[in-house]
Amino acid sequence: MLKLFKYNWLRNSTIFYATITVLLLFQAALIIAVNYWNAIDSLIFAMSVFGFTTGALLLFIQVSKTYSNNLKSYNRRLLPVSPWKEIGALLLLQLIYVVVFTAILVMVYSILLPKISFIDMDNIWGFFDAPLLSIVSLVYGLWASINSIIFVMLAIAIAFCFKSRYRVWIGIVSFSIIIGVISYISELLFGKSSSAGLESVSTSQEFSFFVSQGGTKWVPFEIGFDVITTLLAIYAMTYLMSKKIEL
Amino acid sequence: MKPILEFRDVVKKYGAKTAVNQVSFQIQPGKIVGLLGSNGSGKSTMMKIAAGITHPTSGQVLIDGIAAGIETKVITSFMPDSSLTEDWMKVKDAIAFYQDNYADFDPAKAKDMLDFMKLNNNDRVNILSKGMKERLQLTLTLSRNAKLYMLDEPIGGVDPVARGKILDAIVEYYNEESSIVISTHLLQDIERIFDEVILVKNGKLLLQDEVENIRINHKKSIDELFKEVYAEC
Repeated sequence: MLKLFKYNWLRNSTIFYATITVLLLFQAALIIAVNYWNAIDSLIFAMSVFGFTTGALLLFIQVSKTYSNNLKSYNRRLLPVSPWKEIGALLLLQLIYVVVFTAILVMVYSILLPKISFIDMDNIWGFFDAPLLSIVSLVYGLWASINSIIFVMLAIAIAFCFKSRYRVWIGIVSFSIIIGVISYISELLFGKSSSAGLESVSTSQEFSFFVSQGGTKWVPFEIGFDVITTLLAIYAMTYLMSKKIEL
Repeated sequence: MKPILEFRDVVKKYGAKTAVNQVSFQIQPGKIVGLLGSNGSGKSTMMKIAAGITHPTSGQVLIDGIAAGIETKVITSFMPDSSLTEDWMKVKDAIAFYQDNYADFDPAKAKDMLDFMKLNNNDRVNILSKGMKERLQLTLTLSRNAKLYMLDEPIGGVDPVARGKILDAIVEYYNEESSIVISTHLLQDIERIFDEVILVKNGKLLLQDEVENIRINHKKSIDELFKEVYAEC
């Protein structure tokens, strides 16, 4: 799997480094603008969020494109490796992208956010002063990112089962149906707006973990449901890659 | 002796079109076999099924007695009619890819072949001519110590000089304990290296025989027989 990851990394290295470089230059320019040019801080903040969102989307798309390219590349399809290793190598790539991205985001916002007038820095520092909350948030963010790419990859795998010029639309529809069905079943099992969420409690030094509507008793089951649907998606992908997707 | 490649009543359909129609044959170890047919006769489809990257609609394909799949990719080296490299690669990256992912890859043989083919390690793959790309693909394929090699149209679309070089490389670097299946419709240059030929037409197997038997029984060369069989295609 690590060998496959190596070549996934090499294939995407130029795009990755270019994206990170442009992102850093863009954010640096915004920091300079807010510090020295008296730029409107709300505009600067909005542009910064836009920059990070665009960069994250670009890398997410790049991982999806890599999976798509691997499915139609002879050099990849001829390898004597199980499909789950191919999938694992891409998930590792996504994980590294997210970790690097998060590190850059924390670094930039530790410099930029104190300059934004409407941001309450006490709340922000309070978040980092609660290590368990920070870790849970990071893990949740990583999980959400990996989960998202898995379902996008499943939709791509379904699309590749068809040799049709409408393949892209088959992928889009598949993704919509899969997410819709999972959300419906989740709602059926755990109630409306059942996702665990974070809410800051605006007391002097405290943050609290808050679950909307369903209550904390369903959280382990929701997490279990999430894990099961993700594992089923990976199983479906390995089956399609072994038995249905052809060159 | 256990055949290295066996097709048992293999059918492959793409919608209404039947690309491979009830094909059965065996190839013994140590043979160089020509898989001959006009364009669209099913040669590439048969090779892809044997390589495990396409699945038959029905029937069975066995490589050294094992059903075609992940296990047989370990002992099968396939050179398709499409690229085996990625655009970002240099020649050395393509070699490294094969060395990293195939346990039977022989780097010394690869270096030898690169010198023979006049390929430079630092050349970018996407600037190589078609003939040079074919040479690189052949280097990657034949540098593995596989039991079964399959080359899909290795000399198609290249100039006569490159064609000669490629054929010389096949003869020079082919592992004599292995079998090699070469699909082609350009027979004049390649006929000399075949032990056996398999003729396919419209997805059906017409003939499988040793080249010498065909010359004796039909009193014509393979090229002449090919032209006769595929005259109306």
